[in-house]
Amino acid sequence: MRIKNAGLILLASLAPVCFGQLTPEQKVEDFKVLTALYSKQYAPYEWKKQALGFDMLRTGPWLDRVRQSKDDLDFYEICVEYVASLQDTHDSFSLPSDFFATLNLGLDIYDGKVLIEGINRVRLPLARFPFVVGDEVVSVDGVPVERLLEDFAKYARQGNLRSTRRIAAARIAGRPQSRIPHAPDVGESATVVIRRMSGVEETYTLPWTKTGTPLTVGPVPSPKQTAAVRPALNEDYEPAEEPTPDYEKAWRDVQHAGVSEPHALVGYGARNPIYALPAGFTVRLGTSAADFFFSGTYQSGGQRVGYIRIPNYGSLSPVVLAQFEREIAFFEANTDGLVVDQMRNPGGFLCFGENVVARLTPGEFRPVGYQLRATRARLVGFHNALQNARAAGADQWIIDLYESLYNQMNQAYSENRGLTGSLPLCGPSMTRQAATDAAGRSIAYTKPLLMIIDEFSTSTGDSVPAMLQDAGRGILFGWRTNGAGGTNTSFATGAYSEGFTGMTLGLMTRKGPIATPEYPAEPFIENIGVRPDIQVDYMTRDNLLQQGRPFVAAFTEAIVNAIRTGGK
Amino acid sequence: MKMIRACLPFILAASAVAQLTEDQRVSDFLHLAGLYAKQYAPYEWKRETQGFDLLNVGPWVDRAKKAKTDLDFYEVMVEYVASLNDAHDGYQLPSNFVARLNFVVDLYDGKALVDFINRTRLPATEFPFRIGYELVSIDGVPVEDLLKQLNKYSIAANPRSTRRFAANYLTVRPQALMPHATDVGDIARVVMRRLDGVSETYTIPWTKTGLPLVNIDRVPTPSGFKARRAAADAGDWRSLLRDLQHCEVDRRAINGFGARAPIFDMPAGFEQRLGRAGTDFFFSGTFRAGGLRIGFLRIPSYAPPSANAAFNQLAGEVAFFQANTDGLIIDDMRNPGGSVGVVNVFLQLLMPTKFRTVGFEIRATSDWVVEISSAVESARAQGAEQWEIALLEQIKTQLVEANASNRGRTGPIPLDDLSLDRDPVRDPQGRLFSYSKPLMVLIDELSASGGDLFPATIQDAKRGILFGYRTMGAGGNVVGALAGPYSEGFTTITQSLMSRQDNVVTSDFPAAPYVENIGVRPDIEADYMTRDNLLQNGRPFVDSFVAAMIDHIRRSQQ
Repeated sequence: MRIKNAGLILLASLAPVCFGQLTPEQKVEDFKVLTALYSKQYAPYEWKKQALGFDMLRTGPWLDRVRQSKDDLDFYEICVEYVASLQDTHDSFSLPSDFFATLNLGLDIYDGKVLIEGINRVRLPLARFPFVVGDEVVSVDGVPVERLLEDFAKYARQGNLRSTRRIAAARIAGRPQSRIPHAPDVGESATVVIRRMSGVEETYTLPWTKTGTPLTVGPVPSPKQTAAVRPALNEDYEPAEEPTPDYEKAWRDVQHAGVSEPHALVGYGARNPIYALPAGFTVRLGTSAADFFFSGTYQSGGQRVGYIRIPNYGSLSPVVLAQFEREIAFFEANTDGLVVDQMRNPGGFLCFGENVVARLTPGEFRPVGYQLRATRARLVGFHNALQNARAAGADQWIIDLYESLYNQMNQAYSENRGLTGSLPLCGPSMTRQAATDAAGRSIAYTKPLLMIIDEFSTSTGDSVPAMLQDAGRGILFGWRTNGAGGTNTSFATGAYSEGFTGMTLGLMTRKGPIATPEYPAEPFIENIGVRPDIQVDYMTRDNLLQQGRPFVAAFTEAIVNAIRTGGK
Repeated sequence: MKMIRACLPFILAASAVAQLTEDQRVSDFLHLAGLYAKQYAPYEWKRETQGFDLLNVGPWVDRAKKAKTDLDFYEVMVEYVASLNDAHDGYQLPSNFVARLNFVVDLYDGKALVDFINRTRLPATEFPFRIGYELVSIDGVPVEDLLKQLNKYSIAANPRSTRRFAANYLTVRPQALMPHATDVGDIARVVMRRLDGVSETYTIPWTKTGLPLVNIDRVPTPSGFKARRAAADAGDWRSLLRDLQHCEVDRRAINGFGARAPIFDMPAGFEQRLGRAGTDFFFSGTFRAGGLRIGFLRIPSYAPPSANAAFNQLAGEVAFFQANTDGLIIDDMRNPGGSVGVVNVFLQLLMPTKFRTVGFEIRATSDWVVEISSAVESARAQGAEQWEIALLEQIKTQLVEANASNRGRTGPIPLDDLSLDRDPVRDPQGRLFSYSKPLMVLIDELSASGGDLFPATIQDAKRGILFGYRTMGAGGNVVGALAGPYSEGFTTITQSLMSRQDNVVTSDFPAAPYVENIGVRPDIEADYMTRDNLLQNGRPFVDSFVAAMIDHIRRSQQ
């Protein structure tokens, strides 16, 4: 707060900088803290050991590397790599830096190639830089793109390889130091070889645009021994949430299942779809700032098709759920089938996702369950929540749920690295019915349904199609989901290096084991993802250049067929 | 993997479970020490004045290794942080267990006197002791011995404040602060001394709530171990300033700590203005004494629900007092502090001339550098006012420079405006609006943090007289951090030092401009904590400050 007086303005002068280094002892201590956090908190330890062959508790070789690291940034590289080895979308190590270098290009992988999908024409005017969207990046500073994708994979690790490569592609032209320790090492410009769509290769010198402050770790002496919190997911609309009763806070905390990827993917969590809707599409939601969703209808093959995009699950506002219900009521009355787009969806609150499923599924369904890692802080949190719920006269089902959660947590807490059994987190049981109105009538959509998914349907964006598929409701169309199958949070880590790391606290579980060629048969979503019934890839050059027209035609044909065959 | 388990009975965890390993205890202790090595601002000051070098951890590591139980290990953690003698900094266990005897004592005339009784739990028919009785012993242990034992759980920067918090913990035992709080039995044998000197013994049950921490859970240690801030939302750049400006201590269960109404009864004839409505942040009014009309305003804290609403409310009171009183008494006692920005705008309403507020020397870390750097970018992108951007840039410049030096701190800088020099408030016509008549500020050893800063600035500007007792000496801003991945503790860390206009000379500390430990010393020393005040609702104290105020006004009028 400030009263507007005439203030004496001091001249700010930049200080000369001299660089301190972390001592070997400090690096070792900080790395131990990082690994201890995972030892204590990380839920999918056994799964990662089984499925990926990575034992996070085997830290000896890592410590050797830490001791041998030559400077602070090399130490951070090891921390990044250790966490990346979990191949967990929820978990990445971040440095305390806001430095960002960009070539002012947006890159992604189409048809298996790194193509330009966006150009900042203010920085790269067409006259001097005549490449266009759809052209291919071949190399940067002489390093082939394929090699860069491999090198950058650790800065982009997701639950599956394809998603990892796509984020890595984005990192080639946009380098946040929070994820890439040596990002400030880029020069003033980069030599970029671009293959035009004609097949001709051209070489450009592109300037790096740099913002933020590069990281330098301030020196501190070590203690001497005897010898020695989520960025906003939806930039379009953020409705106010209702105040949370105290007793719900611990519950809400374990319901978080979402991610953020800075400077990465176009349209990730955005309200509007990545493609252009068919001709004749009538927009309903998506033009007002108060619209959380994008929706509308169009005609195809003599059928009236409803369409709604769910950008993310980051809101707990009842206003948002009411908006969804109104759309579903309209679609039920005015359409023959419904397309739900949850591509490029970074997740959010898993109970929002479950509420969406209850409005898309007219019958009974099984919610995704959660195996939670038990810690003292969580045990106390649930104990407080239970006491507060009783004191506040909460609904009996909430009290019953909390009591069940507390008892499960208490049991797991007494075991070595205990996990709870598979628990419901949004209601009292692992069976859930369709949502109803005040009169008890179902308000769920009953007609044929198609959900669009891709490798960035993430976290809650994984769990929603999983619930639909387990219930046999609708068709999943697109690509396998991300495989970020847990609830998550983040922790500060390392007193000296001031890092920050994501943490998966619970494992999503499905109705039964899922058999895939790559993983052991397990009921998990983590890494496995959710597989589509109709596999269609959006990431082609044709889609890029035609704003998704082939893809839109394909899912339109699929929903029309489903309508004609009664949802099959 | 596991199947859903049937709901288990609501039972407490049995005690016979695993303990933290030695490696885990050492690792967690070193993490705690590392946090202080990196972030703690008053390191040199504490080494000089308290004789405690937080970097000399050898003996502590030995104790952590030798701890026989998890709770003994937590005791080591608590004691290490307590050794800083810093009111802002305390280590907390992951526990919500509290044991209560359902009465509260505080120190009056140096004795632990009862000043609150929960009569629902302790009905007078069965427990006929009363307010003002002296607590002599619990379970045969004299109160003085208990106070010494409880000292490390009660640190408040100076001995008197610390002893008062310790007195509070005689009958209220939160395990979050006191690892062995769970060791109390089902009942306590309590000896009380009546007002007539006769001793009585009561058997009082401990009321226990929460989940006792007996042992922390087992996890394997990563095999490489040999024996031995959520980042702020970058878009909300104001949150960084709010964090920097946070100067508040925990609100403990001391009567009236942070409460709107004063701890004492107002003089006869007091005409109350604010303090009845739910929207009133302040308690205020006027009374007549010695032929003068005196205004009274209690500031309960510097953390109002709405800073703007509180400012407007205070401005309204200032306008009234300026027109209708001969002098004003501000009650800053039992004030846990709040925001530096709020303190400073309140001060501007009470200062008729330009003044210098207290600066802050910030311990620079990479985390602060990145947050301030992001905040500058966000403020620019969001079209913040130019002075706000300039303020952020000024802080950034200082932090970057300090971060490059060994355990560097900035110079004393303002955190809520571009300069430490502040002007009084003027109306739109440029006429002085701030209160300009004689002023007195009541302070005590529970005027803490922002509650220290307020009287320090008044005294530095020679604006009025300070009446009461030396303030707490909680002179910095504070952040919290998880400490120790295995033991799941939490600790608070002072990240800056308040720095006054000039060095302050005292008999107990080196001459320094700091508020930390030194506190702010009153011009007229008067002790509220007497049995007379307890039994008469503060009448002697009120008589005393009223007499002093009359004298102050008359001298000012000469």
